[in-house]
Amino acid sequence: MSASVPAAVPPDTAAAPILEVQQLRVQYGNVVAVNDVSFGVKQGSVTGLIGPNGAGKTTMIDALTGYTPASHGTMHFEGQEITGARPHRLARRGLVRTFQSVELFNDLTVRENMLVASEPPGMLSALGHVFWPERRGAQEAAEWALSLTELADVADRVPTELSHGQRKLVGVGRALARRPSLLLLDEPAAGLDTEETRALGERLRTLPQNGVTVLLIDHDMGLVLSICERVMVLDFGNLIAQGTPAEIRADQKVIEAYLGTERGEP
Amino acid sequence: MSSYILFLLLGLGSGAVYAVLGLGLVLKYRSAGVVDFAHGAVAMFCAYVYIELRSNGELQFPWILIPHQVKVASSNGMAVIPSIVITLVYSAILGLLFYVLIYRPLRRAPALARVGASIGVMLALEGIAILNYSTFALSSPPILPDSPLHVAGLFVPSDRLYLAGLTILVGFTLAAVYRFTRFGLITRAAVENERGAALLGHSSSRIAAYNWVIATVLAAAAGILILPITTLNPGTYTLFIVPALGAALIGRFSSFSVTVIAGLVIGMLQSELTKLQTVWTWLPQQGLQDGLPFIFIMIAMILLARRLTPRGAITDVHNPAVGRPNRPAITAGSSAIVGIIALLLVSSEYQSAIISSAITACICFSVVVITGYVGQISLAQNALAGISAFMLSHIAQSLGIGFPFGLILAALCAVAVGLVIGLPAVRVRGVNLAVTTLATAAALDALVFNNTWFSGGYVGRHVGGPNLLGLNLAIVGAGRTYPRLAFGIFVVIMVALVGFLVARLRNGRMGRIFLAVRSNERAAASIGVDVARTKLVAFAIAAFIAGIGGGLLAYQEQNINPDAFTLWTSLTILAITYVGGVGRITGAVAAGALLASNGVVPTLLNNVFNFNQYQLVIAGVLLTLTAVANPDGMTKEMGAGMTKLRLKIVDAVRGQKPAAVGVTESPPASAPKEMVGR
Repeated sequence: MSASVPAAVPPDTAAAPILEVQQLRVQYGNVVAVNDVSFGVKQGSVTGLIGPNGAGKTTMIDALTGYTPASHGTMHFEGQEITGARPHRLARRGLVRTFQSVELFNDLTVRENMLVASEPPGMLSALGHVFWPERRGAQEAAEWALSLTELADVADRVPTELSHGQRKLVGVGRALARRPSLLLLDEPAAGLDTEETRALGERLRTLPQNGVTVLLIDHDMGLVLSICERVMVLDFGNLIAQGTPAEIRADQKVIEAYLGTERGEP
Repeated sequence: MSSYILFLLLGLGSGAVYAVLGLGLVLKYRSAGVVDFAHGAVAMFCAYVYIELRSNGELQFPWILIPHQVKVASSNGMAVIPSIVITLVYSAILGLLFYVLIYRPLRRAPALARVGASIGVMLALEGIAILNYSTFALSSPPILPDSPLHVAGLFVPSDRLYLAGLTILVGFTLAAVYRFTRFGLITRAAVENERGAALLGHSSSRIAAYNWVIATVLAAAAGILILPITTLNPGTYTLFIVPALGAALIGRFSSFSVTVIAGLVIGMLQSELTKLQTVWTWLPQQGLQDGLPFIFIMIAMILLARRLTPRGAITDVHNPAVGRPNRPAITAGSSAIVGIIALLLVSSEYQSAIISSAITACICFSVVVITGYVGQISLAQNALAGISAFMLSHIAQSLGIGFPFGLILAALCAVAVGLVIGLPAVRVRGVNLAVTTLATAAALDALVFNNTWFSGGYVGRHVGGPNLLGLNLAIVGAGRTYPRLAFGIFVVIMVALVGFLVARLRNGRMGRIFLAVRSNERAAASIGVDVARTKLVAFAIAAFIAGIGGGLLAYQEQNINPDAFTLWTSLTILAITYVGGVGRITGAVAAGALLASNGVVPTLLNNVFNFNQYQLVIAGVLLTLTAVANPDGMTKEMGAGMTKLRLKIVDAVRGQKPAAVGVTESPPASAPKEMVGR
């Protein structure tokens, strides 16, 4: 139960970055998807990362969580270097992501989707539980995730029976059930209607109180600017601006690259 | 020195067949996305068509029971050229039918369904050939000129050189056609983007059908031309598929020229091994040639794994339904009691059948775990049972360890081999994994089970009966009863226990991790699941279960011999589990009771008519039908029906009218037994 439960934030490190990225570059052949990007995410914050389609947002998440190798650069999570670590190791250390394309376990019920994330991932103890009864501890995190995402009503159904909005929430809930200290959300609002998006924003805003720092990647400007304390803007793999939502709204480069040209986009 | 070269050149004959079959596999894969395990069996059947035309002028059809031959020429047989022409036309029609009836409906099916369908065709053709032509080896007079050719001081039969030359010609023609002609361009386009090709007015299934026909005709041609330098019998020809898969894999299922070269090299090296065995006498004297393609396949897999399976490819496929055992303890306990009562009531013949059914169900449990729960296709589970069965004998003999520790140790030996089989699964998925496990099963068959020290060869090895705390559980005792009731009860309790533990596994944390990995490996890793380790653990657990089954089989047989664990038996185990329902414990039980060759229902049928001989054909046909029409297996319907029935009974007991019940919904928590369709 050590790494999986987020510790109360110690006062002296409260402002320290939970994630620090330096000179991160991801290159596919000659195409530079993320170009020497450096930034930090403050512990206990809700930070936003926005950018138009093709800006390199998902590639950035893939690189941060070990799904894509970084060609260059270093990443530190909770003060320790994580460059080159494998996805499941990072997840166990508290760095958990969601997927743009949802990617649920369709053979498991909603509750089981949460349970498999909240349970200790060790295979040996899992094997042991074939022979003796399981402890119930892990269910707390799953129930917590279910209530936070308000999915308790559909907990015993399989994801394929749910609406798209609900499935998105299952993805978020599953990641939360792992009890992350940093949650990377890849476009959680894509495909949600206005009301659903607003409700999701409300929930995300409460996460830092529960010990979960949030890095929200989305191209829904409204959502990101309304709930994030800090926002970073990515364009063609380059970090072109970062600051408070107010600063971002006023930034000339951002307006040119993103807001000005893409305003018609929902 | 020169004799080494001679052996290399002699290997060109079989190498040519591997190469041409490999080309056919590439054609089928490139156009229809199917790795056709039945490709060798099709070549085998076409060779019979040719040889029967030649020798007695009869045209052969792939069925049994009704007359399977039609007289088309005089009984003295037909001449070479017309026989070849008729056979090639015949093969074209056969290929077209197979594609349209079996593989086209499976275009969007998951890998398991396609593997299942082609293995079903393979088993069915094999079974039909055995019934219609027996396993007696046939040979044919020369077709190509075979006068010895003087090459660099060696006399080489010229037919080998002609075969190799023809093969290279075919390979490079195909390469040129696919690179430079419109047909080739369209084929490549249709595979890249089916909808795009359709927009341009090309039906991808028509293109696939053409390619399928070409591949089948090539297979038939290869099957005919190799006849004079080999002998035709159902088994060996069908198993040409293993080296052919090796060649196609080296060619990455895309390069014709590399496939041709790889096929020829495999053939030449096999032949060279024959020479080397006479020089280096420490080499295994049997099975080395058949083990060689395995090494090629393993190397190809390790080198090419990344190319073959693009990382993160999103699969939106429907996996076979998985059962939800509701009350494992009650179900297992009541099943054991029913089994024991049945043992008490029936004659010794049916007692044996119940024992056989239970043991087969146990081996099928291992398929449910590895293929049903984790989605990894293993074609080697019965080979693992065999490892355990022979190790049981060795452990008892050399170490003097008896039941139960001997059985556990033997099953652990199966686990060691199972981990080796599972190792490629860390990097390869789906059909590629099926290919590696098939190659492993073939290699185990050829090298390990053929090894007289290990398996006792034809004589087999003796296995003493189990004995628990002075209680004699052996199948035979001092008296004349066979089988002894004590053994029957022992087996039923053991298998019920294994079934209970599998249900516990399914319902618990391990089951959730397994299903998460089956559903979506990327997502599983994102919440901390170590996907590679999960697969290895699953292979280990499945191997242990198969090992227990193999050990029980050894106790039943008392004298265990390699015939019980050939490659065919492993394929049959997958086939019957899939037909029963690969995601369900009841699927395995149904496989054991209804489909196992010595099981309860087959024994019953065997007494009505001579059923046993049809087992391979029936398993094959049912497997293909299941893959095409009902991928969840027959117990899904049974499970749903049972739920309905149970609810009716519950209602009747309560004195209420039967309620209309949606059978696809979850049962009430109080519903006993297991398996509810979802």
